[in-house]
Amino acid sequence: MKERDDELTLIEKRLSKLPPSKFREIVGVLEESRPDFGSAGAVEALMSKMRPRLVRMKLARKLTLQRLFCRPFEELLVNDPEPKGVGTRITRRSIEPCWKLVVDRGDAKKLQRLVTNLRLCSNEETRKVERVGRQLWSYAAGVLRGTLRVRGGLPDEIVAGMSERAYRDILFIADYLQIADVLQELKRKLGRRPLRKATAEHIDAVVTALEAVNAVNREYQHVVIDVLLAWLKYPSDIVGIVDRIAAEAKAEIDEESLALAGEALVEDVEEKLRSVTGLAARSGGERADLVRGLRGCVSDVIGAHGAFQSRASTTAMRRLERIRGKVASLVAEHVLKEADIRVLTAVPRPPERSEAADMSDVLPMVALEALPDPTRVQAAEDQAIALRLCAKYAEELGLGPEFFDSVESLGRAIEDRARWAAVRLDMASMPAERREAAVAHFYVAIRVLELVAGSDRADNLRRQLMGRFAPPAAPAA
Amino acid sequence: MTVTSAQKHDNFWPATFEERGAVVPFTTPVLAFSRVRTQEERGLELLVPGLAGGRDTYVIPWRSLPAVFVMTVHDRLLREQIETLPASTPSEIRGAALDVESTGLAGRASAEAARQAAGGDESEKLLTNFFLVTEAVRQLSGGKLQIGPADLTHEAGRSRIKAILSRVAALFKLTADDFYARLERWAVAVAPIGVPGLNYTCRLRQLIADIADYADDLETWADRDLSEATDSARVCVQIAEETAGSARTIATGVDRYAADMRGTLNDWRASLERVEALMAKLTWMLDGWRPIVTLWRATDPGNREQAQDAVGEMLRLMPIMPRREVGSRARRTWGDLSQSLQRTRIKAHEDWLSGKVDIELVLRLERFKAMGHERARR
Repeated sequence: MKERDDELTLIEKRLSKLPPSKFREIVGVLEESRPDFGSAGAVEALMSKMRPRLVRMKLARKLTLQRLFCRPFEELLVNDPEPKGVGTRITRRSIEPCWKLVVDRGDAKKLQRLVTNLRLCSNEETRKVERVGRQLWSYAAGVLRGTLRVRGGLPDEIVAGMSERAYRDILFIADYLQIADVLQELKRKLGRRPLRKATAEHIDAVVTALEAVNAVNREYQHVVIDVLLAWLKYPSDIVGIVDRIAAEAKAEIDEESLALAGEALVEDVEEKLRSVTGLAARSGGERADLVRGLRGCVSDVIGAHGAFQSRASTTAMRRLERIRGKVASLVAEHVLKEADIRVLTAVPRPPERSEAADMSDVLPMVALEALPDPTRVQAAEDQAIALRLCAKYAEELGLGPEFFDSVESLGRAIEDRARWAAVRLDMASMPAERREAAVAHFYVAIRVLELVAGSDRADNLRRQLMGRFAPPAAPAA
Repeated sequence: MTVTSAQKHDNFWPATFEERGAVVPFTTPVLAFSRVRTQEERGLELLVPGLAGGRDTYVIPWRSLPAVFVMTVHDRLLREQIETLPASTPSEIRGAALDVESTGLAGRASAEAARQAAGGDESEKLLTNFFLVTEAVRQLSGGKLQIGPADLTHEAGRSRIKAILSRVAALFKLTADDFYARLERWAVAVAPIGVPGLNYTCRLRQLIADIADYADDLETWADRDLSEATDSARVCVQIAEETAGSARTIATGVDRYAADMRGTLNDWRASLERVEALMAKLTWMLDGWRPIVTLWRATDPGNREQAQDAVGEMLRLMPIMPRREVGSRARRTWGDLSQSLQRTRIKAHEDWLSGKVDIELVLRLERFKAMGHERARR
C-alpha cells in the first residue's frame, strides 16, 4: 500500500509540472476511462491526486452521473475526513460508499437510462441536465431511504467496512436528497457564495424553501440551516436570519431549528478555541499563529454575543461566557504576561542601582556600538504587534485595565531608555560606523514604541532624538 | 475626517506625468499609493484617489498632511525627506523611500529588502557600465579588440584596458578618462533597464515583463469570474497591456543607442539628452506599477472574494497615461480607458478608507513593500 502511495505521490509531482494543455488532455483521457457509475480504483486514486490542480484550473470536467448526484450538496463537501466548523459538512470520502449504495441497491436499468439521458445533454444545456438531476436525486433518495429503513439502520453487510463518519454522512445525504429540488432553487436565489448580507429577498427565499420543506417533512428544516451556514460569509449572521424568519413566518420554523442555528455557532467557536488552546500548549517562542487564532476566537465570540443579544438563549450565552473567559485567560497568559521583558530586550537598558558605579553607564553604551541583534528585534516586534492586535479586543475580554497598564508602562520604559541612552552618547565625536549602530538602536526603539503605543507618541520620541543624529542614516546590513 | 483646504477632482485625467504625480510608498492605509506632485504656486501636494470611497481624487497640501491624517512614523519621516528633494520625480522618491525604509521604521523585512534593492541599483549601474565599456571596445574596433572581467583582476589587465580605451577614445578626440566618463554617465542614465545582451535583467525591464504577465494572468482570471469585478479586471488588463506596449517601445528606443555606439558617441550631447529624456519618460510611465503587480501576485486567484477585493484596489491605483504624453491615435484609446476607469471603479475595501491607522493594514502594506523590492531584484 505504501509503495502505491509513493508511486501516486511521484505521479502527482510529475502531473503538477505538466503544461496546462497536456494536463487537460490527461484529465480528458482519465474521465473517458471512468465507468459511468461505480468507481475504478486506480483512476479514482489518480484523479484524487489531480484534484487540487483541477480546482485551481477550474476545468470543466465531464459530467458523470456520480458528479450529478453530488451537485445538490457540493457546497457542503470538504476534503477533511472529519469535518469541523459551523454547520453540517460532508467529507468527500463519504461520496464513494454512498454512491456505491445507490448503485448496488438501485435498479441498474433505471440508472443506465439516466446515464443515457445525461449523455444526450451538452454541458451548456443546464436545464436538461437539471431535469435529469431531479430524476436522479428523487430516485436516489428513494433508494437510500429504502435501504436505511431496514430495521433501525443499514444492514450489517453494508455497514461492515464503513466508517461511522460515512454512515452519518449517508443519513444526512438521504435527508438532503429528499428536498434536493427545493434546495437547488434556494441556492439559486441566494446567489453566489459567500453571502455577505442577507436582504429581504434572501429571507423570502428561505421562507419559501422552509414552506416547501415543511410540506415534505418538518424534520428536514435543519438541512436548510446547513445550506444557509455554507452560504454566509459571517456564520454568526445565521442567528439574526432565523430570528427574522421567526418574526415573519413563525409557523414555518420550529424551535429546534432556531436552537440549532445558535448551537452550531457556539460549537464552531468552541472548536476554534480547542485548536487555539492546543496551539498555545505547543507554541514556544513563535506567537504569530497563536495571536492570529486568539484574535479569530475573540472576534467570533463578539460576533456571536451580538447575535444572541436579542435571544433568550441562556444556555448559549452561558457557553459563550465560558469561551470568553477561556480566551481572556489565554490572552493574559500568552500576550500580556512578560510582554515587557520580550519588548524591552531590544531597547538599551539603563543600569540597575545595585550595579557597580564605575561600570553602570558603560555596559549599556557598549551594547549600542554593535548593530541591533535581528533576532531580538524580531521577537520584540512580534510581541509588540501581538499586544497591539489583542488590545483592540481588550475591553470585550474584560482585560481593558491590564492592557492599558501594560501599554502605558511599556511605552514609558521605551521612552525613558531611549532618552537615557541619547543623552549619554556623544554622537558628534563618534566614528561613522558606531554612529550608524547607535542610530539603528534608536530606530528600533521608535519602531517598537509605535507598535506598542501608537504613531504620535513614537514620532515625539523621534523628534526628541532627531537633534542627536542626522536622519535618515541608514544602518548597515 | 476633515480634509482642510483640499480640492476634489472628478474624472481626473492629468495632462502630463508631472501633473499625475509620483507614487509615494506610504504605509498609512488611507494614504497608501497616493501621489505627490509639485505645483508652481502651491508647492508640493498629495493626490489621494478614492479617499471617501468615491471616484474622486483629492488634492491635499503637503504641509497639512500631518494635521489631517494620523500618519505612521515611517510616513512622517518620508514626508520630511520628500520635502527636501530637488524634484518630486519617481527616481527621487524611490531614493528617499529606500533611505527611510532602511531605517527599519516599516519593519525589519522591509528594511532588509530596501537595503538589498539599493544594492541591486548599484549592481545595475556597475554591470551596465562594464557592459557598455566592453561593447564600445568591441563595436569601435570592429570586433578586433575585446576586454573581459578577468582583465580587471590584475595590474597587467588593467593597463591593457587603459591602453585599449585610449585607442578607442582617440577616435573621438578624447582622453581615456573623458571617454570612460561618458560611458559612465550613459550607464547611470540607462541602468534601470540595462542594455540588450547584458546577462542580468535590470529593474525596469523586469517590471515591463511583469506588467505583461500581470495582464495575462488577470485576463485568465477575468474569463472565469463572472461578477461585477470582471469588467474592472478587464479595464486593468487593457491599461496594463497598453502600458507594457508603450514601455517596450521606449525601451527599444533607448536600446538603439547602444546598438550604434559610434553614432551615439559622435553626437554625444544630443544622444545623451535624448536617452535621458526617454529614460525619464519610461520611469514616469512605469511609476506605480510595482505595487499593483505585487498586490496581484500576493492574491490567491482561487479565493474569489479576495481576488475581487484586489481588483477593486488595483482599479483605484491604475496609473492612467496622461493626455499630452501619448500620440493623437493613442489618446483616443487612453481617453476611453480613462472613462472606463471612472465608470467601473468599484468601492474599495472600506477598511482602507476608514482614516484610522489600523495596525493590520499597516503591516500588510509593509509586507507589500518588502515583496515589491524582492520582485524587483529578480
